[in-house]
Amino acid sequence: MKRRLLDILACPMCKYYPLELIVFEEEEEIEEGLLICNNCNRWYPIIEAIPHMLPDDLRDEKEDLEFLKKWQERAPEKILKSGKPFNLKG
Amino acid sequence: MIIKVFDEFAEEYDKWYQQNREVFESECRLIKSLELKGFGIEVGVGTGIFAPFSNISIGIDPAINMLKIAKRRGVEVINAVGEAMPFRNDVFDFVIMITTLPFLKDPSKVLDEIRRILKNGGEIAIVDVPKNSKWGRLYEEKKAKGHRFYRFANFYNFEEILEILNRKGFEVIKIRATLRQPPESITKVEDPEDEFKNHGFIGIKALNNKV
Repeated sequence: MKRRLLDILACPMCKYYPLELIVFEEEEEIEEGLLICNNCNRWYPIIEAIPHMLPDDLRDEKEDLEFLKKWQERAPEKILKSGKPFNLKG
Repeated sequence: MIIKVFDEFAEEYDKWYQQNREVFESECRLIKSLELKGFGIEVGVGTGIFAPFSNISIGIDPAINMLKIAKRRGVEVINAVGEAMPFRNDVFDFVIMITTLPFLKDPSKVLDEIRRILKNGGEIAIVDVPKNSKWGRLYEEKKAKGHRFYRFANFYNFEEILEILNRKGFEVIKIRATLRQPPESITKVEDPEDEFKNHGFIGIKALNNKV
């Protein structure tokens, strides 16, 4: 994902913007990272440079939790504990 | 369910176009003739096979494996659905959907979302296979036989697509139609015409007047 995409993104569920961006890996573009909605507390992973921004009912809980675990050292507490729709606290 | 099928057969989807060059070329010419300009997005971008002809900057699709192919083609992609688009209001100059309408879970909601993300005076382009054509009937037959893609499709007549756009407040400004040759005997690439006469592939461009 290119950084400038952030200028047009909004939360697909509550439409709040701007989204908070946390970068885990960046080369020419952001390879891995998190997009966070500070209104509804949803989080969206960026995997292989592609932002995953599906609504709750189309998300894959198992894959999402694996992603959070992979980055739990660097993801913010609020997402790990109470991020929607899934978090590590269950 | 349809998302999984598109994911599984992502590579195969493109192969069909490679094997049907006259169809693909004719469709590309039609898309080009819509003359879409500015900052654009394709909803249901799939593998991005038409991206060079529609002039899009961004594409969304729920099928991640198809998106990976689109990304390799240079499209900026987001894994998202038309019913819940991850964009601010009033950001795009145009939105295009190419053979996507029949696969939507909630077409009305998608069109509301398109209206929201389009600028005032922005354009929507719907490109599809109308049910009332020889090509449409062929796909209907495939659907009836349980074809892996088409069994999920809900095809529309040309007039129905116009009506959907009108109902949502879009003003139709351009009509393009191609594939007059029937599916069983297509031999040459066609240039698009500007009147629908049961062609197998149509493009409708409409204005988003917000006020």
